Amino acid sequence: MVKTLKNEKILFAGLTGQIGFPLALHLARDNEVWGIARFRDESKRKQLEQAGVTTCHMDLGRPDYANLPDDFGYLIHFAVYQEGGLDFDEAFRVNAEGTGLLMAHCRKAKAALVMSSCAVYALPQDPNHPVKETDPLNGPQSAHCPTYAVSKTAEEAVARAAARQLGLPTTIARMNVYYGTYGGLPPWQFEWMLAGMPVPVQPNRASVCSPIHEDDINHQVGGLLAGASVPATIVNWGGDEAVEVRTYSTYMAEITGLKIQFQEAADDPLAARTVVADNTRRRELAGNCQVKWREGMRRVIAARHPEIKLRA
Amino acid sequence: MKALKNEKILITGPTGQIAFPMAVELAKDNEVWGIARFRDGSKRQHLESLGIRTRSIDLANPDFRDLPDDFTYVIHLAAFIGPKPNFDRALTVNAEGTGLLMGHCQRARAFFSMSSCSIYAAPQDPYHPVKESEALSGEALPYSPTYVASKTAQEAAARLCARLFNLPTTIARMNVSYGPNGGLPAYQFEAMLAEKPVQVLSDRPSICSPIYQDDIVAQVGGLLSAAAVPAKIVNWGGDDGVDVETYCRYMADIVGIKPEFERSPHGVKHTVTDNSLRKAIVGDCQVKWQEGMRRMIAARHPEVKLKG
Repeated sequence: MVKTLKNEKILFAGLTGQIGFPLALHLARDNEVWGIARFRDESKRKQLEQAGVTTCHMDLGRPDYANLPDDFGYLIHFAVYQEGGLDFDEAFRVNAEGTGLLMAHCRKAKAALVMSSCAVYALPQDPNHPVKETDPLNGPQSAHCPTYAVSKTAEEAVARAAARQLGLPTTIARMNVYYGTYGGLPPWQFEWMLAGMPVPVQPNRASVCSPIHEDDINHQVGGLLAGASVPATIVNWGGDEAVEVRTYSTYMAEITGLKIQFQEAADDPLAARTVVADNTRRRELAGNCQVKWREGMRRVIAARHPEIKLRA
Repeated sequence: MKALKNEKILITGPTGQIAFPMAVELAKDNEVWGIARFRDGSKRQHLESLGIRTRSIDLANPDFRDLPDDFTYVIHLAAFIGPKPNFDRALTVNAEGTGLLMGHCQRARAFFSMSSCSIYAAPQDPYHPVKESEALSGEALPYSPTYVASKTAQEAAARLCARLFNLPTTIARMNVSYGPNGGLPAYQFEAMLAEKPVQVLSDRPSICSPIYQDDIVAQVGGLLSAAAVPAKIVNWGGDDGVDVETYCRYMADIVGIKPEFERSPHGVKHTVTDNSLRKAIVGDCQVKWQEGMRRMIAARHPEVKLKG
């Protein structure tokens, strides 16, 4: 852990998601955390309020900031429009315009952390090639959410423009594969195994990725915010180890005694096309990861399924 | 349709293929300013001689101190387009630069931001006229890997700034522009003239909606008058969809040369635009593609005799 956030007034957008929720709870221990979201799940809102988070309903595409303070020390923006349809206009309204309007509201902050995604990268020929922040963009449409890659690229563009326009130090973090208590690709794949379903994979391409565990996210957020700058700092946010989807899925099956089956299907929306992240810049800003992937996957299964006995 | 008169207009990239004839035309009835890096001093002098006031500004790192901020209209045509995969530079110029320019010109009545139909995902059916609401995620262009991503990024920045500054904005997605000052058909004609093959896709017809320079110049005022908050997004192509091979054969035919085509799966996937919105704003185009191509060749190559 490089920098810890303490006694700060933090605005957290998108704190009901799989990544945001545990991070918001973590930060609320030592900070004054305000959370904005649409809160479609009231139970999550209650949990957050009980943890000391002040919540406020907000639609980022059509925000009304009249009743929200603007004296936040930090902005953490993980909210995202990620619906399955083809509404590109709404995706840009929320992910691009919404990001800029939010940053403008928080222009007095010391720094903003805007979540992007490694989905913005063009897939490298070699699936083992660790992509650097300067590598080609133009990520392919993903079947589960056709608007995602292009609207995250748009979000980055807006965050870059707003950082300079507002003079707001900004970090844009490109998330690789997240996993934790509340979800992420590996936990979902485990759920499919548990349900006796095959894990869909790409047929002609190794699905190598850089999974990063919830605890590492929680510990690195301070360092990433401290590395914010104008023009915006862009940084890959993945784990230190590259691993193939089949490899970690097989490991999860082994420690739980489940049978694993893979189903090769190029068009299956659930067959992930992944990249390996070059983490040099993230290590400089926030240090090494603490959780190895085998240990992390054990912990996640234990947290989500206490009823399952894990083999050594 | 609205003609611009007695306005104070800023045009970015005024030496460009589309911008130059527009700047010259608008300077007849308006106070026109042009900004660019002006690496070529003679072009800058030429603009000045036509009554256009110029300032040297790099949109990647703009210093607007010498530029007024009381323009009534801004026409932003400058763009980074290059063969190198320098995505950071492309986003800095096309996205950040657009945002900073809109910040400087936030008092304007309207801001026009040029975009490109290359940001659309190519539809399965090459004859399908693409609407403004259709799927984005265009493939990278073979000659400029950063272009599609950074023009998409520019739209995002323009959309934001329209709302942030309450600055009425039009984002126009150019299809294929052409005229005496250049454009894809002009370059394809010159390739044929030099007995070089025209490159076309091998697995897909290359249908596009070419729009002639005079129509572009005539329509820009109307498109500016439709600017709105949130930004108005409009396709900007000609009224007729036409196959690249068809218009190349036509051009070859009227000058009596034989066209050659080189077919490859790696090339630009053109789109046909649905022009309903543009027509509702500024009406029909005046120049049919056959007439436009004739005029283009006559203007660029007075030495070539055109058949009737």
